[in-house]
Amino acid sequence: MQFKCVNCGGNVVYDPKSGNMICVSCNSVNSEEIVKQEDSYTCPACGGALKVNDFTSATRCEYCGAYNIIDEKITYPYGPDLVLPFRFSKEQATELLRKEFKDELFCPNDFLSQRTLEDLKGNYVPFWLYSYDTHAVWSGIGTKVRKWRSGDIEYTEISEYNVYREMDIDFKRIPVDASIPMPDQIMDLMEPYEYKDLEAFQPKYLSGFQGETYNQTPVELEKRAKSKADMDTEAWLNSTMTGYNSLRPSQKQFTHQPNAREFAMMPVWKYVYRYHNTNFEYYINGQTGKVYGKLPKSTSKIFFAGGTLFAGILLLLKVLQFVVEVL
Amino acid sequence: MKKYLKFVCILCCVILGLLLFSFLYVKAGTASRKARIGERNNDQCTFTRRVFDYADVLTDVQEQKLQKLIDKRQEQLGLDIVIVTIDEDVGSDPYDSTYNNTIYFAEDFYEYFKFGYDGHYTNANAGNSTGAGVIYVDNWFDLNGSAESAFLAYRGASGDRVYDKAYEIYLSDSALLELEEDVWEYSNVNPYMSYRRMIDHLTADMVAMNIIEVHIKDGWVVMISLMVVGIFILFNLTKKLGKRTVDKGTYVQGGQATVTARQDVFLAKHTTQRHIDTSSGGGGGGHSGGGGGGHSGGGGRH
Repeated sequence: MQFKCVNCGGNVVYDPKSGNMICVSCNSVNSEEIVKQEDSYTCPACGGALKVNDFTSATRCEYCGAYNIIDEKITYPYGPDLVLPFRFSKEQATELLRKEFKDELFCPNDFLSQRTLEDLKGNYVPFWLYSYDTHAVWSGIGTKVRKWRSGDIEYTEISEYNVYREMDIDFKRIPVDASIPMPDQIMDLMEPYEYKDLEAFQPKYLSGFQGETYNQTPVELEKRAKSKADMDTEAWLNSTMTGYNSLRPSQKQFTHQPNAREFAMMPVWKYVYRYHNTNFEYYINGQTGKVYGKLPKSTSKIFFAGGTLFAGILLLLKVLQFVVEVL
Repeated sequence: MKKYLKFVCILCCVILGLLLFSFLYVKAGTASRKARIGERNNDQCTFTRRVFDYADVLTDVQEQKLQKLIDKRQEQLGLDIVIVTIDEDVGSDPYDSTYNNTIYFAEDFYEYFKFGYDGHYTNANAGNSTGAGVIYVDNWFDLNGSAESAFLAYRGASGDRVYDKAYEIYLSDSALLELEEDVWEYSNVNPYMSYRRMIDHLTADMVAMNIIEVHIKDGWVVMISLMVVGIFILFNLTKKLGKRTVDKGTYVQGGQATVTARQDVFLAKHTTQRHIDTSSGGGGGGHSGGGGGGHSGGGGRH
């Protein structure tokens, strides 16, 4: 499907800044109508073949630039339950990147230049959200150590306790990304998302962005969700066992009873910068603005900065050396 | 990058500020000293040569440069500054054969030619002063793999404190050692630089207030600069954006977990004891000494 403007026939896209649908041609607001595709792989505006893979749910026609949503990837069994609309526009995302990297010394000159920022793209990343009723049982031996000194003698007292804890934790929407191309570790770093803005899925939010449906089933990813729940459960238990110098578990049992599982699309801006035949990838949480990325290093800038700093410090120390001798 | 350039500009300003301060301070110090120092007053040693390169370790140009610098400093400091290089066995110390007699050579040289800015007494052996000045003798004769040098500072003949300052400074072993170490740093690689440093160090000691008793070596200056640059580059290279910002409560309904059972039952207690050895060793002794006669200073090997 495609969103077209009733006034001019132009492509209508979702504008994160205003929260409205805007026509890219005549700037009309909320003037969209849905145009269905004859088949999922052809752009209804120009008839060009859409470049899609097995999981693409939204893409941009590379011939006419119109945004298309692949119907069969947003309906059962691939359709999302929820969507978190973009809050940051491309311009705002660009500003966020510039702000984050403005003080970086070793970035190449064309990093974040207007030309390279053309590659900044908004993606709806598929996530499974797992909710669990967790019951945790922990028992073991806790020790407390007390030391004191009397004259020339140092005393060490070790007290042992039988420690037992039971705990109920209501985990709600632990996110696990279901996109193979998106690195898991980085998607974990994009968290947290503010769930209060989650909405029932509406295709209009995909217009103007790239999107994909889940690449992996919820059963395949359940292990990652449980591992996140385990980690948090462990942290909760530890927070109730303070005051011990060491804890030796004899029983540790976490039961995660699933009570809901939802499929959601989360907003992520992705910028790829190519430098010396290496791709450097930057991700921005499209809702909270959290930025992730490793800096590209310009060797000439490292030498320039290192050299000038060395000369400066050397000169300063030489002057200090002289001043110290004078004083 | 802009921020970095700003930092470099600030650094340059600090350097310039310090330089200006030092320059003005030295100028003021020298001016005030010069006001108290009169014209050279020694009719027994009238020749102007102060660099005697018998060991031929300096080029003619270097000799001229040193001579020029000495001429300038002499008037500023009120001292005759003499540099002598030799390469000969001047005899061994009768009590310690590992030392030779460069120090006595220096004494003889200074007194034979009757150096001294404010005049010269002939009865130096009576323990009186023999005229303000310093002599540095660098003996390149190979004595068990080392060369030997001697630095002597003579007190003024006029009894004026202005002319006694160098003598008083180098009564201190540490001040003498600092000067010698400064000079020896370049002795074997660049004798000219080494003698220049002797003159600079002497000048600094003479015009200094001696508030900070620290001498920073060139090696340290380079090493510290390299370390700062290394840390700076490493810090900037390893910088990475994106940290974990979720915690245990992020995905928990209401942000709280419920503890349904909690027990901490005391089982047992063990106590151990350890004797602490509090005895400690005593301190060592020290020694001090003083200078006598008309000069301070001493010799050493480099």
